[in-house]
Amino acid sequence: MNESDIAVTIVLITLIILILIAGLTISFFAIGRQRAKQIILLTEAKLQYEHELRKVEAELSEQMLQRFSRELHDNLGHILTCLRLEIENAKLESPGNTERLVKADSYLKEASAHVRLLSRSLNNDFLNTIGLTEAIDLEVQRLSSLGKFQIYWEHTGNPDLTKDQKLMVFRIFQEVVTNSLRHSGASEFSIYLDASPFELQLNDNGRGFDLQGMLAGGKASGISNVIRRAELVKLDCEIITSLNKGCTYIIKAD
Amino acid sequence: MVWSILKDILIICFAGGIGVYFFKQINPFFRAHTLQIILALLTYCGARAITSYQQNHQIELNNQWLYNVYIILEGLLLYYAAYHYVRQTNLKRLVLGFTIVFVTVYITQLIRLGYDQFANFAFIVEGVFALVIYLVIMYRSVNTAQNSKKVRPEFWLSLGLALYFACNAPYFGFIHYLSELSPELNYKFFIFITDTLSHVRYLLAAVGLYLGARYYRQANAYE
Repeated sequence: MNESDIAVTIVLITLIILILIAGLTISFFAIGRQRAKQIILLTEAKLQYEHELRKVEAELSEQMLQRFSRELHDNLGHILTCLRLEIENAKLESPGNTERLVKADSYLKEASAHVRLLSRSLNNDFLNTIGLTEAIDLEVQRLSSLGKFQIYWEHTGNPDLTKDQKLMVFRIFQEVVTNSLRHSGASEFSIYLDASPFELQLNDNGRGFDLQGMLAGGKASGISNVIRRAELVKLDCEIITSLNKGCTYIIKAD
Repeated sequence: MVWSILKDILIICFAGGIGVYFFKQINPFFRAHTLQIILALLTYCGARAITSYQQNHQIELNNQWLYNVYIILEGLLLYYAAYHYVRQTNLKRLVLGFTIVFVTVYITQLIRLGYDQFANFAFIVEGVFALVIYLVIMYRSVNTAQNSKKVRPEFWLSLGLALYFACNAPYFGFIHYLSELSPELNYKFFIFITDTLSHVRYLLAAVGLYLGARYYRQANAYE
């Protein structure tokens, strides 16, 4: 081999190798892009799946509540009605015991009313039929009869929300009231509903709590539930509270 | 000639300087490469000094032994860096295997040719194995980047090494034959191929070291 042959050979092989390295680099990038796209698709599919799962969980729990509501109304309501009829019959048969029977009848009447209210509050279709404001109104009546705290209720009409949003807002309202009853030690509870733009404010004058501490410590499953439910139906949920300063929930349209 | 030497030293110093400046912030992969760059600088300056001394004292020119010392240390540092980078046991075993084969070829060639002759086959073996490993590192640094539009900093350093070893292999395969046939052509090829590739390698190393310092500083900030 002479000089020029060697020179040409070396240069040619070097150029070929250079082109190969360039080709490999480009293909690495192409593979990387493809992989990144696949990861994005996978993440989106996972999010979609989780969203569907939550939806199904919500639907299942609503179905359970509806069934419970029906059982309450059909079975327990029916039994209480039968009991009232028996008391009416007993009043007629034993006129001497009328006073005691009237008392028993009034307790039964009250129990029937509570069962009816409870059944309605658990029933979503009922909520759709009468509207959110009326549903909260009935719930307020039920709560007032418990005598746990003074309730102040104000509204500016029926808000224009989707079926899911109405349901979630009502469930959030029930959750907040339950929390307040159990933990706050409040003497007053106020509810303000602004129909347009939608805003629901729930406030108690109880002992309040350390929100960040509870969320960080994983002890606030009820509150997490409230926030999650609001997010699911694209509503904004703000919680304002501190120790000994009560608690305010503000749920409004995004 | 002086300008050429100065240019080479400046580029290596630039890359080495970045590595030394960010030495505490970079991980062992980049630290090993910084040490390799410092070694390259010392070897380069040492080789020039030896050649100059030999020329001035009319001694037969021979600095090949210094390059023989350099390539074994360079190989060990490059394989150590790669060993640290790869996570899978199989790849770690591959790197170890390559190191053992390289050291064996090196020792064998030294025994056959003596330490005065450049161990070119050992250099080619080092280059081929380093090429394979650093192509894997390039692939992984593209595919494990968090953002599909960016690459991890190891990519740039690995690209420089891949280009250097791959494109030098044909020349170094013929180096002894060429140096006997035509020393002038040999020198031209050295400048045209090896020198140029060396510049590319160390400039890309500088980019990789700088980005590596930023990347791992940000990563540590999130821990």
